[in-house]
Amino acid sequence: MKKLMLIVMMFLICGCSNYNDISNIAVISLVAIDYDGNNYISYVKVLSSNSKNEENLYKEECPSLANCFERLNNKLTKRIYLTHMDLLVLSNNLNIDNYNEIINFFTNEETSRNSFNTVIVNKIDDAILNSDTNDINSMLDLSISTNLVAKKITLTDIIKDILNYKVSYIPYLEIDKEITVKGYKVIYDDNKVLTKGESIALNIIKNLEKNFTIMIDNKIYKLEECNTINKVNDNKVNINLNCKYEGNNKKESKIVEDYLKQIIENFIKNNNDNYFRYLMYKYKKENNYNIDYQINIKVNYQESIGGNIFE
Amino acid sequence: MKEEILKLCGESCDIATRSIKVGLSNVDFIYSEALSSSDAIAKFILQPISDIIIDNVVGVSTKTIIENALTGASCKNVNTIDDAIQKIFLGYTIIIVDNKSMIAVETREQLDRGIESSSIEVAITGSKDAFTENFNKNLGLIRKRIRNNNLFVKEVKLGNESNTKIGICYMNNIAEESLVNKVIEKLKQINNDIIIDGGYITEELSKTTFFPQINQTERPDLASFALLEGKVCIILDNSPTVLIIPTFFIDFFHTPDDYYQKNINTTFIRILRFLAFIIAIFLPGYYISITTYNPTSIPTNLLLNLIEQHTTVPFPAFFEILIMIIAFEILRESDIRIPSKVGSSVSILGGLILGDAAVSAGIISPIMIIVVALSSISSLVFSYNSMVNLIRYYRYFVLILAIFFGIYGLFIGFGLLIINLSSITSFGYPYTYPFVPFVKEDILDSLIKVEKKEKKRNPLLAKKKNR
Repeated sequence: MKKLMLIVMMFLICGCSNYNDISNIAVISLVAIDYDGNNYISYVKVLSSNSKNEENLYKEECPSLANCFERLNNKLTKRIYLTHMDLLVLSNNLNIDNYNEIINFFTNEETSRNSFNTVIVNKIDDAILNSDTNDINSMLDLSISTNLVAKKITLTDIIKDILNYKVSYIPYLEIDKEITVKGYKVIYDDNKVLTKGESIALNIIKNLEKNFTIMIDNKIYKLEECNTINKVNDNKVNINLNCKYEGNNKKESKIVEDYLKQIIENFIKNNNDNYFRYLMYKYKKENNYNIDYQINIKVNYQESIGGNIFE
Repeated sequence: MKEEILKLCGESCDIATRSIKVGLSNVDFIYSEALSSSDAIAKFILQPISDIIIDNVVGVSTKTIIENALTGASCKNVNTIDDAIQKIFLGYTIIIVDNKSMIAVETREQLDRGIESSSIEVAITGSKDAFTENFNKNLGLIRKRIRNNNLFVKEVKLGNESNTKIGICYMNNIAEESLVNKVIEKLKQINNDIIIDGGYITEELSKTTFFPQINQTERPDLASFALLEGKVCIILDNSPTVLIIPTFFIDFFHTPDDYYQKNINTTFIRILRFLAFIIAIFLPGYYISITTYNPTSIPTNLLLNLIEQHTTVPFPAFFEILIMIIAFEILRESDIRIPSKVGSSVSILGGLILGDAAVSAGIISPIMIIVVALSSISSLVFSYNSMVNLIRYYRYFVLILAIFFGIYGLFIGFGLLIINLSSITSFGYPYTYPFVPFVKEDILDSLIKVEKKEKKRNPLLAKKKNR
C-alpha cells in the first residue's frame, strides 16, 4: 500500500509539468525586434493552422522583451512557441544592451531552439514582415554561393562567436525598393556594416565557401576548391588561400590574386583586425600588441576547355 | 457390484444397464450412454457374447469364455469398483459376470470433431492440420511427424475432480533430463480441482509476470519443431492446444510460415513483426508525448496539420486517446464473442460508421483514429493471445507514463520493459535468449534467419553430447 501511495504521489507531484496541448500553442515563424530608444517593438508572425496557410502578424511595444512576449501571449490567448521559428529579424537601431537582452531572452526561453537564422535590416517594415521566411533564407544561400557576400548564421552561432571572439558578423539586408543582401554587420564591438569587399574577405578568411564567383571590373570569375588556412603564431598571422581558376588567360589568375589580397588587407585595416585579435586573445590574454600579417594568395590557373562561359 | 456402481454414480440418467444370461451365469453390462457408442457395444460385446455356445465348454469359467469371445481391441480386467467407475467415464462398458468379476471393454463414442485446419495460427504454406480435443489424435499428429522411438510420452493425471490426462512429450536423446523433471515436478505441484485447458496450467506456472512464459500452439508442425529443439510439449486431453516449454521472447516473433519459405522473406517478416510490437506498445504514448509535451520534434507543416485537426475537438488529447482505445477494446471483444454471421455487420458499424461519425461530430480527431488503429492492428500481428494481452497492458502503462511525463515517461516505460524482459526466466532458461546470453549460432535464427553452415542443435536446450 505504501509503495502504491508513493507511486501515486510521484505521478501527482512530478507529472504534468510543462503540459501543453497542441491546440493551445501559437507556432511562430518570424520574430522581428526594433528599438525606439525607450521601448522594444516586437513583431511575431503566427502560422495559421487552417488550410489556407495564412500568417498573422502581431505587434507589441513594451520596455522589456520578456514583457512584450508576455503581452503577446495574452493577446493570442495561446502560448507562443518559438521552436519552429525560421528567422529573427533585428533592426539596425539596436545597441549592445539590446543585443544582450535579446540573447538573454532567447537563451532563457525554453521553447526556443536558437537554431533559426538571424539577419539585421536597416528598417523593419511591411516588406520584410510580409515576405516569406524561406525566401529570405534562400536569398542568403544564393548570396554566398554566387557573390560570396554573406552566409546565413543562426543565433547559436552568434552566441558562440561572441563567447569565443567577442565579435559576430550577422548578415545585413537593406530594404529599399527591394530587399538586398549588403554584407555583414559587426555586432558587439564596432556595430558597423561591412562593405561588400570586406564581407567577401571575411568569408574567405573564415573559409566559409569552397566554390564561388566574384566580380572584378564587371567581369565574373569563377573560383573552385578554395581553401583558407590561418596560422596564428605569437604576433604573426599567416593567411594562406589556395584556389583553382578555370579561364582563358593566365593573367586573369593574377588579377584575381591581387584583388583578393587587396580586399583582405582592407578588411584587416578597416576593422582594427578584430577577428584575429580575438582569435589570438585566447592565447595572449591581452589586446595591446601589433599583429604582423602575411597574406599568401595562390590562384592556380587551369585552361578552360569550353571557353569563357561567364562573359 | 452393479448396485454399488449405480449407487456411487448417483443413479445418473446416462448410466445404462443391461442383463443377460450366458449359460448359467448372470452377465450385467454397465455403460454411460453419453460416452459410449451403442454400435460399438452391439458389435464388440453383445454380438460376440450371443454367439457363444456354452454347452461344449467344460471346466472353463464364464468370464474366460466371454473374454475370449470379445472382439474389441481394448479389454481390461477391472478389480475395484473405483476403477470400474473411472473406466465408465472414459467410455468403457463394464461387464460384470455373476456379480463377482469385471471386464472393461472400450466402446468410446467419438465425441470430438475431426482434424481440421488451424484457425488461429494460419499459415500460407506448410501443413494445414491442427490439434483437436482428442489426446490420442494430438499425440498421433506429432508421432506422424517424428517417427522415432526417442519421442517419449509420460502420463500425468491433473485436477482433483476432473482427472485430466496430461502427456509430457520430449525427445529423450535431445531434451535435458533436468528440464523434463522440472516440468513434471511443477505440474505435480498444481493443486486444482479442474484442468480443462492449457490455460489453467499456463496460469499456474507463470503467475509472476505479464510475459507469456509458456507458448501454446495448435499446430503439430510447430510442436514437432519445438520437440526437436529440445523443448518439452504438454498435451492435454480435451484441449486443442499443446503447451511448449520453455518459451523465449523471440519465439513469439516466429510464424509457422518461417520454415517453409526463403530466408530473406522470413527475415523481413520477423523484423516487421518486431516493428509492429514496438508500434503497438509505444505509438499512442509517443503521440501523446509529442503533442502535449514535445511539439518541438514535429516538423512545422505536420504540427500545423495536427493543430488544425485538434481545433474542433473539445477534449484534451489524452482523454481522446483513452476514449478511442477503450472503444477499440469493446469493438474487439464484441467481434470475438458475437456469431460470425453478424460479425461483419458489427465491424462495419463499429469500425467505419462510428469512426467516421465520431470525426464528423468533432469528438475525435482523424489522426487519433489513425494512431489507435495502427497501434491496435500492430498488436494483432501476433496470433498468441497472451502476447496480445501483454502488448495491451504495456500500451496502457506507457500511455499513462507519457500522459504524466511526456517523452521521459516513454523512455521510463522502455527501460522498465527491458528490465522486466531481462529478469524473466522460463523454467530456468533466460527469456531473452539468444540475445542475452548471446548465442551466436541461434542469433542466425532469431530476429533474422540466415542459413547455418553447420546444422547444430539448440546450444542452450539440447543435451551437451547432442549439441
